[in-house]
Amino acid sequence: MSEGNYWAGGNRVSRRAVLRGAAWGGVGLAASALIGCSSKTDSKGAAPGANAPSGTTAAAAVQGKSGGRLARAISNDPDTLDLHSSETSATMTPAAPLYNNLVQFDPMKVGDTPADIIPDLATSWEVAPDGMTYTFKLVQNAKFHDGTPFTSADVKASIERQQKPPDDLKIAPRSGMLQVIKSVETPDPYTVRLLTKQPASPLSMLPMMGQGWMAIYSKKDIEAKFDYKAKGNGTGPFREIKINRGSNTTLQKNKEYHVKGRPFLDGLDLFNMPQESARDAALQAGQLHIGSANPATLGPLKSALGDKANYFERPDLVFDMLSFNTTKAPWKDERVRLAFARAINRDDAIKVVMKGAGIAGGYMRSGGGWDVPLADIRKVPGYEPFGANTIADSKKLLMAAGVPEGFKVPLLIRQTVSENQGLFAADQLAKIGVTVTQDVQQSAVAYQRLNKGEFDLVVFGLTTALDDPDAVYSQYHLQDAPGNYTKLSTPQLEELFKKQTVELDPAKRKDLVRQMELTALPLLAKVVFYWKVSNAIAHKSVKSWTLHARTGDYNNSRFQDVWLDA
Amino acid sequence: MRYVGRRLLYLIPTLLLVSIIIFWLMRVLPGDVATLILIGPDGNNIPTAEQIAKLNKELGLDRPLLVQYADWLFGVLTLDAGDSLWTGEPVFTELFRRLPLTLELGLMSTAISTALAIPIGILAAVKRGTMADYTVRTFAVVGLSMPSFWAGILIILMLVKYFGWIPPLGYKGPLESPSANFQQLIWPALALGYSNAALVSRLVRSSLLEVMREDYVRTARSKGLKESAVVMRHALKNSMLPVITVIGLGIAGIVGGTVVMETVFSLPGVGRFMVDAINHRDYPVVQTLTFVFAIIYALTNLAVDISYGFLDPRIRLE
Repeated sequence: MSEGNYWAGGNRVSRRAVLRGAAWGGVGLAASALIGCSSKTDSKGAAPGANAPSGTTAAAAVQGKSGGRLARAISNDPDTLDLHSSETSATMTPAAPLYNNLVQFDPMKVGDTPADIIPDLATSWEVAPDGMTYTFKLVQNAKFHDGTPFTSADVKASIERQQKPPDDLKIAPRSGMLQVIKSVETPDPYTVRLLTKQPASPLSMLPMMGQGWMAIYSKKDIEAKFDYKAKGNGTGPFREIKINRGSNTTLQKNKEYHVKGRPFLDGLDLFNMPQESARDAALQAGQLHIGSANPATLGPLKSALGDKANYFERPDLVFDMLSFNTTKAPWKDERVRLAFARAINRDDAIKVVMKGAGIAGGYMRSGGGWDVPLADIRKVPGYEPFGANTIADSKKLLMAAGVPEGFKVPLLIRQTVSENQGLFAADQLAKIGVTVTQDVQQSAVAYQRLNKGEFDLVVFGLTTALDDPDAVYSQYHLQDAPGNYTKLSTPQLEELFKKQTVELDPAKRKDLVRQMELTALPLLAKVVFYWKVSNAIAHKSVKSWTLHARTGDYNNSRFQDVWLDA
Repeated sequence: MRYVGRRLLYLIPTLLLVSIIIFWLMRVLPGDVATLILIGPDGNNIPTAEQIAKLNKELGLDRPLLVQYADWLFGVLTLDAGDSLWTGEPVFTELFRRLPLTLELGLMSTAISTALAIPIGILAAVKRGTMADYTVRTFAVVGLSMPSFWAGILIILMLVKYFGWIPPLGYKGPLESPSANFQQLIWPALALGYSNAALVSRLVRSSLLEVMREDYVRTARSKGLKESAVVMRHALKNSMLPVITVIGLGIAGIVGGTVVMETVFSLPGVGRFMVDAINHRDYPVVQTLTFVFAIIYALTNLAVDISYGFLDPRIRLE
């Protein structure tokens, strides 16, 4: 169904109903339309999940078997178990099973799009027509692991802890994102209302609340300064986390979980295995149920495991890029940036660096729904298909900008993370007469240099937790975005961002996001090489589990519905 | 005893110097712990300069270096070296939790290498120029050329390819599950032991060959003693001095030797603790571990020196 049809359908019901339930599938539908999927069931603006029992998912239809412990590998112990103060899978993987959110991404849907939002501790929700009030009805039978009943006060305390972080929180990565919320009201113990400062689209609000980081903590614990760094006390399907540093982390089944019949598993075992070859061997030996693979290891693992395993491939929310310090010459000159952008053969980058596991695209994830079609991106100066005259044209641009043949430039590269990309960029730029000195630095040093503006060129991978224009642009592309090391933006871009963020009509918003992309990309603050594709392998005994688009388990680590068919 | 006492006294300035050097080195390395904590293990966070400054203050890293150094040194001497900047756990608690594994692995590998190296070293010396000698020398060259971590990876891959099996995951202590503990440690101990055996066997061979040319060995032979008695009773003991030194230094270097092996075999020992701490710029951990390693190294060295006197009465420690 097209967006036009959808909104025509939407007009047949009240606007309030259209905005209801984010989710409603409504939004889901909008998102489905955005990503080119359609569903006649959704066209009525019904709210999938709105009437569903809390915590149930698409996987709920599966009648699983109880018992067994699921084994996975982690490569680091968590430095903290506090989901509110982290942004790494090292925290998410062990801590997520301890908690619930208000809403969640459906574990069995792979896209992590707004359409995939389903209930969690909220049983249903309504969005006011002006998009400034979100009312959630809550489950009434949930308890924290220490026996404290769950109420709306816990939701308010949890949101406010991330929005206005107390001093003991090292970092609060969602604080900026949550500033859109003006206040959190609790009219009764099982209703919570979010009032926003400006119209807030459910397309952004609900995914924001659904990401794994938005765990609900107990108000009592928050007030008592509970040691969330080392311990956990949530309403989630697993409890009693025990970390044996350097060895393994264990979690046990929460037998009093509020979702009847869940979880299926008796527990989770997370083994700390820093060495990739050891992880792969353990997966082959059947000691791990789920593992990851990269382009180099996928083939051998497939050969070894054959039909004993299921294989998953998803576009990830990570892109590699080349960026310029536009506060310095010659990077201020857009001709230079254009010449460099054109010199990068993106098809070769995918083939050589990613061994085929990459997708061409712009700043919004390719195929995610908010992206500009590739054909349009190919028309953006600097993103044109690589042709026979590309190198010669780029050289002319450099000459016109006064950049001599043999121009030497240091390229800042993050050690181990971006070294292959750095090599590739150096090779590509050599073709237009630029000599690159590779400046490989550890992550901490690279970040320091970026923060201080002490770089000329940098090759970097950018990651986002959500495929959402508000999240992506406010993190990386706006003038004051913490990840916009070039500080390059334009008033037009900033204005488009503000417009799209308050636009409630999905079709109009998508158009604004498209305009925003086509305004940001030609600035060439960053030159996107490709979006990464991730792989995972699960033994066939693992049921009701799939790999999500946002890998690193950010939105799919709870394992509530997963079971083992041993 | 006076000799031992004097050697122990010499340790004080040595260890002080070590502590200053490691403290200084950790501070001059580029990259700081606050930034690393804030960007997280995946490197996804984007810390601002304000956040970094705030965390540095919280961690006490904005204090003068001399104050930080004195604070830490006093802590170490009172067995309270502070908490890990990364995990917040006391350094000594974590060290004592991990030390038994590393010692067990180190001793197993030393036992394997010694049990292997001495007989084959003797065999190669006694059968010099024969196939047995060439075989032992080939064994030694391969062992010396092959990095032990690679041997470890090969062992894992071989186990999974040919037996569809690898040691059980999740470390078990020797008292908790002796069988699982043995399965987990024997393979890295073999990989490490092989590497060390290669070195020691070469040393045994060359040292024994040298001693076999001595007059007293010729005298023993001329008395009509059996060749085995000549070698085992007269030559071997005197050829052991350099071998003991190398084995002793090997024991002292257990932690260094197990660093990579603990990573390859996913074992939570001190070596991995050290590597993680260095990567995280976890100053209290790195400084304390290095200090403890220096003490172990110095004491083992002393023990080796003392053992010379027992092996060769001609050596007077005074």
